[in-house]
Amino acid sequence: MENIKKFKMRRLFVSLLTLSLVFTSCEDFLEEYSTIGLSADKLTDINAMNSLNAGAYSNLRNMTAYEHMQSTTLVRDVLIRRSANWQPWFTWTDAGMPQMFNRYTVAYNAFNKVNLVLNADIDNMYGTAAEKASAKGDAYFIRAFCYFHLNNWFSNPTTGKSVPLVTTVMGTTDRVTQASPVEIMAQVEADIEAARTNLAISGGITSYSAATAMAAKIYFYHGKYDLAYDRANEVITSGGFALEQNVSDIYTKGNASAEVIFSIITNRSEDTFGSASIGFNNYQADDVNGITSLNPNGVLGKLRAADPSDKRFTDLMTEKDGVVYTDGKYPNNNVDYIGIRLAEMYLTRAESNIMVNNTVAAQDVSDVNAVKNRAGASDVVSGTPGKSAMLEIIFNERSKELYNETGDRFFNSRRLQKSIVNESGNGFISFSDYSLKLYNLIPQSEIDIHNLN
Amino acid sequence: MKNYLIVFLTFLFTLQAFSQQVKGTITSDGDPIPGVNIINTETGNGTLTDFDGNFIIEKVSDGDEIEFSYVGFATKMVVYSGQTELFIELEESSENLEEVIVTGYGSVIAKNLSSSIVRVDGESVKNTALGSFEQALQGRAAGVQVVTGSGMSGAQTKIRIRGANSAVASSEPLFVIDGIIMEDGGYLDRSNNVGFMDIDTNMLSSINPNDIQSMEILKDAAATAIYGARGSNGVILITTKQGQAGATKIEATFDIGLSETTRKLDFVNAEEFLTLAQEAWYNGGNDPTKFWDASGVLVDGLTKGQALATDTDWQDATLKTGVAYRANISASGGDEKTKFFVSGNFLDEESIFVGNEYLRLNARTNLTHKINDKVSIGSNMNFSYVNNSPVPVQNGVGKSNTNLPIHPVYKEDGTYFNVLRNARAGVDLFTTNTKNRSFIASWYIRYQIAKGFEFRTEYGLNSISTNLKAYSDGRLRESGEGQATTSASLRNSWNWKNLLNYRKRIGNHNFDILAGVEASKSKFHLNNMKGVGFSSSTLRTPADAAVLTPTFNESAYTFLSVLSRVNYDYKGKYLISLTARRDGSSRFGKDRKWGTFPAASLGYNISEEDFFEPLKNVFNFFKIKASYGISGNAEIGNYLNESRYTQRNYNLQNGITLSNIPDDELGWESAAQTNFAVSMELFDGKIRADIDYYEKVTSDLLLPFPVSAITGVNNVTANIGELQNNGFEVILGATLADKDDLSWDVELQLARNTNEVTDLGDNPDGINIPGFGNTAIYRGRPVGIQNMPVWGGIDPATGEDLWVQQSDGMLFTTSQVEGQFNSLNAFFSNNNVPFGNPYPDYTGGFSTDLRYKNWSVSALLSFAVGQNYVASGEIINSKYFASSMNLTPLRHMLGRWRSPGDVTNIGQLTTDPTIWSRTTQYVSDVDYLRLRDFTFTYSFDIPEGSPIKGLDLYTKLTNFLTWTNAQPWMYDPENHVRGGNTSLMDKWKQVPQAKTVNIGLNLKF
Repeated sequence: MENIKKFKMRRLFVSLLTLSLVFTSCEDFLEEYSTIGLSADKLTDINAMNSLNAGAYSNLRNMTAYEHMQSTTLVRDVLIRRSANWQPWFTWTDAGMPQMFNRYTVAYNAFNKVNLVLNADIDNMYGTAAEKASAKGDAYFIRAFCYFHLNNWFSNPTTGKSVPLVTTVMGTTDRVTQASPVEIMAQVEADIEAARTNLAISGGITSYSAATAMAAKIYFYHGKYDLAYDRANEVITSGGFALEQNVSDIYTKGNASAEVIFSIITNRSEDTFGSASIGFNNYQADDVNGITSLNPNGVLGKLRAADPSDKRFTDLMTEKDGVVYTDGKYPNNNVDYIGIRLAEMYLTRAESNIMVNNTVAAQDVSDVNAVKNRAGASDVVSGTPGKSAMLEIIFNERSKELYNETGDRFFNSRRLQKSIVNESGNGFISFSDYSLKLYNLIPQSEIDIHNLN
Repeated sequence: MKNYLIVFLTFLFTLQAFSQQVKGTITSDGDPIPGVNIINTETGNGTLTDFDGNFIIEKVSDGDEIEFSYVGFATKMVVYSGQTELFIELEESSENLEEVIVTGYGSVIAKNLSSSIVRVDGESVKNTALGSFEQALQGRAAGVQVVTGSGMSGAQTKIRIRGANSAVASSEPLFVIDGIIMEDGGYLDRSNNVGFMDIDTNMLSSINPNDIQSMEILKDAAATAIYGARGSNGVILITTKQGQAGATKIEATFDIGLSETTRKLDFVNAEEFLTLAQEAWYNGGNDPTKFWDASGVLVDGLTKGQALATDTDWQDATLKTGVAYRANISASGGDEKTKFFVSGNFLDEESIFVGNEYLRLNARTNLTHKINDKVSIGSNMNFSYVNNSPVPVQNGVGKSNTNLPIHPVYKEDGTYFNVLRNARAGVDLFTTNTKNRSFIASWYIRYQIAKGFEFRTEYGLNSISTNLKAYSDGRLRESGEGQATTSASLRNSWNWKNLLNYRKRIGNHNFDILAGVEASKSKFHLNNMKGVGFSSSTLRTPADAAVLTPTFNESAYTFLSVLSRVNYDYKGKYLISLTARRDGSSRFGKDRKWGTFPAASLGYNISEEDFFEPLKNVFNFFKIKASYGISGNAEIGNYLNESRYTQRNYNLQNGITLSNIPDDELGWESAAQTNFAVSMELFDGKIRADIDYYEKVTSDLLLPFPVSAITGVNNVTANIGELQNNGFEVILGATLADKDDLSWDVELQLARNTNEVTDLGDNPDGINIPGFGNTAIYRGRPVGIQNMPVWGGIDPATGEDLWVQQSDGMLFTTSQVEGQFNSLNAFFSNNNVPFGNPYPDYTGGFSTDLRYKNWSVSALLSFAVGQNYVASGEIINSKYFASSMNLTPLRHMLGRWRSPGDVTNIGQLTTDPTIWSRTTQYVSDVDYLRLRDFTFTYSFDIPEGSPIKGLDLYTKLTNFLTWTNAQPWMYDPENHVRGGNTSLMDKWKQVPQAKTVNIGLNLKF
């Protein structure tokens, strides 16, 4: 009797064990995946590629948010009237500057997405050739744009190193080393040309012209003036763009302006933070709420004093109680961030042409005058000045035209190795001094993880 | 033929000789007890006594053991030896030893329990005026820290059993009602994210407290391991009432209660405000004659004359006396085969918050039916309807200081004064209503395979639907546009378990073996519609809005489990319990899908030993226990094991961005717990003591772990940390009197717990948790402390704040800091230190039950000692009220520094700008002792033969008295902060708690 019971018990336990093993092998029951949102395994069609690109464009809003503010304070075009919080971002030290906001991190967030697109098997996805080309074109464009941006901010002149070059999707255990600025430049140029090739077939979020204008800007900063000329010339002669009559219209219209070739579009329902909110909050003509005002002793302040009726000063600046506010380019916190516009292309084409030919041509003068005339400047160039005089004119014109935009004031001064206004706000510091100080530091956490130096 | 007849008769006679019918009567103190359970443990035959205590049991043979058991009485065993009639006298059980303790998937009598489980009787929640039954556990179960949400109806509760086990995952215990895991948390949002609005309704509040028979709190790993990956935060088992065979009993209770805030904040009045404001205005270097015109105290058209004639206490605009009506009716009874318990409950409440209304309806049916000797079926079903209209807190009573005492609530034309900062407008113009329907039920079939061997299959269900409507009037929004939201959510979770249970006694060896499999799935759907902009303020649904934004969400998780337990005892002297559960869950990473959770406990009833006999005069019971085991915490959220992309649109184009990188090793947090305990009774149970010591180590602690930006995200969540909770618990009980007309019991529950983070993986010494405040996790400190600069008091010479530089301990005044370090913020960021303790060192309660003739008094004092609280908007606003002149300071600001040499901890009043940073200035100790419950009952004598069997009149005081050192900027020392363990110290605006007085009538038929 006892034995029978034992046997039964054993049989029962065996069946129970079997049952539990059956359940254990019922792994399907434990496979419960989110039905909402995309996971990596679902990123297999052109729509997903476009969504990744759109997400990366959205990153550009944050990456460029402080670009104009930091560069305009670095060259002391404006002074911080109050708020000590700004202090670290333009205080020059021998060990570089902390990055503004988290432009490094945001750029790599964007790389994660576009690298996924560029390493995906787009050619075998369902879609037209045009759809495939536009997805690739956008991804190449963003990668070029972001690396160009990072290389400008993070190249360390002392070590000769720039940021890590990442062109694939990286995991948490992957480690990288820093590339040289030259390696990054090569990647940027390859990517922007690939963007042009693809966007020529079909435009994406970014147009073929925008990629071409970006190429002009890239080559211009990379010192490849022949290519810069070609690209700028292509954009200008395409007839797709025209200068605005009123300078202030550029900024209120933003992406809708006929002059604007590439912009980062602000939509406060998607992102309240970005260049527009930073620009509006800091430059606004409000003694209490605004932060900055024009530095009368800076390059820009002196250019204004020299030609006070220029519309770029009268229409885009506000004077109150003896203080001049540079508020016109960010009239509210909902304007688009203008990346490249036709006026810049004129100035780029003119300077590139001079550099290539080592002499000034009539077209160069007319390019510069096109910009001056629109602004109602009193110092329109007549005749054909000599090379160095003309380059000086172009530098000043670029300063007047592109202040508070895209960081051009700082990067252009550095490109030309010009002295800039020193920390006290009147007096100058030479290129050889400031170039060793004014670069961004890679975040310490990244240095620790990858053992960078 | 004759032979055959003889043989047959002989056979019958033989049968008769071996197996007889026995009848008998069961009494207690001479009174018959109906419904006593009688079972022949050899054959499994059973029956019940009738109304007169009589029974007949068939087929009893010599040597059979017959067991007589009845709730509240000591079980009696009789070995049959041929009697034809049995007269059994049952004795009321001497308290705890024979009490049945529910252990999860089974039960055991208290004496034979070797793990750490504390039982709280349903009596202590009966007719509670607290918002939800689990709040009544405060002070009644050592080691269970209970923080009541607030005085808002349906407020949530925070419970920590033996400390906080987790950093970012939930630390709330698992709630199991009649064997079915309950959904808990808020109806609207199951995640533990900190939200701005405290308007969610507690799902647990849908349970009728009067349905509860008992609550068992499983504390050590030996007890919780049977719940495997979901057990480590402790488990609260709720057992609802079941019918008893016998006459149908009907019980009805009617109750009315009044409530008020436990305390108000002490703001300055109009006159005091003007004194302080003008002083600050002057100190700020302003022209005193321009105070009224330029300081900003006159807003929204107010004139100086009107201001001087006004003295408003804004708290009165949003707080009031609450009122609640309760009715509860239940019927229970049954016969030998079928038993039932049916109840209905009604609660209609207006809380202490203006505008807050709450209605709850409950209906419960618990049924059991015995189909035959082998098969029985049963069901527990509860339907509840909760209609709650909560009001905003941050934008309600939280705005009590955003207008001034010299400001009126309404303007002369009847419109709201300064509407955006008007507390009353915040409450009136923002309306929320949720209608929650929940059906929690289970059905089972029990089949007796053989004697002592039983199979049980049970299906459980939580089906909970919530409909929310909210409307925010355009006057509350800067844009002027009204906003309406509707949402419908459905939460469905099912659970199916199949259990085999084998009980066997072999000589002095007793076995209770359990094995089973369980599968469960929980799914949540949400449809939400938001509409902004209406053509009329009478339109309040999104359908009429100019702009509509729909959102949809759904998520699910599954668990699959195999479980087993062996309870063994030898002569009730040596106790061994072995438990193992294997859990798999959809939440875990693919390389860590299954976890095994083993536990063992040993108990030794020394008092059963012969050698103990000489001590028995003093110690009638003495047991030592030890246990070790591992249980887990799987409340890590859904889909953390997947790579996830979240929406990130660009210019109205669908955009996505990587938000989570999966960790294939992601899994449960694992808590290994060691428990040592002594349990004893002295002087025949008159004094009782239980002492537990435990050490709990949570490893695989889920923490954010920073990763390189090249991955596309900034951090991943991984099982990398470790924390410990150590402590002890003491329960001391005494029966001071136990006579017919006088009985008096007292009990002390005391617990101490220390919490310490011991490992953060590869993270540095501290992690600052991103988000609001300065919450941090530091090695060597409790989880969820704050990282902040140290305030050094007020400089008597200048009246300025002093700040401590960490490198050398030097003190700097604010102006020195600004001179040397550019700004206070720059100084603060280099001088933060981890600070504070969000957990009480000691928690517990003292309870007493006194009955004299028809009178009875029961009281519970609960306490918590040693925790810290940081800030509150009101204290920071007080310090800087004059920078904007639109905030009301608290009255303690009157003690400010005024001239050199003044020694005070309140600085000179100035119009300097506000510094929002939390500093140690705002840290305060919060200890309290409160009269949680005081119930006074009079039971009327009922004449013989009356249809009424009992009539009690009672009055109940809840939270009525509180003794505390809480600072005047706290509404209540019981500080509930929503969310997990990372923001426990800091709450921007505290929510008042309620104290109530109830009067009620209890009728029995």
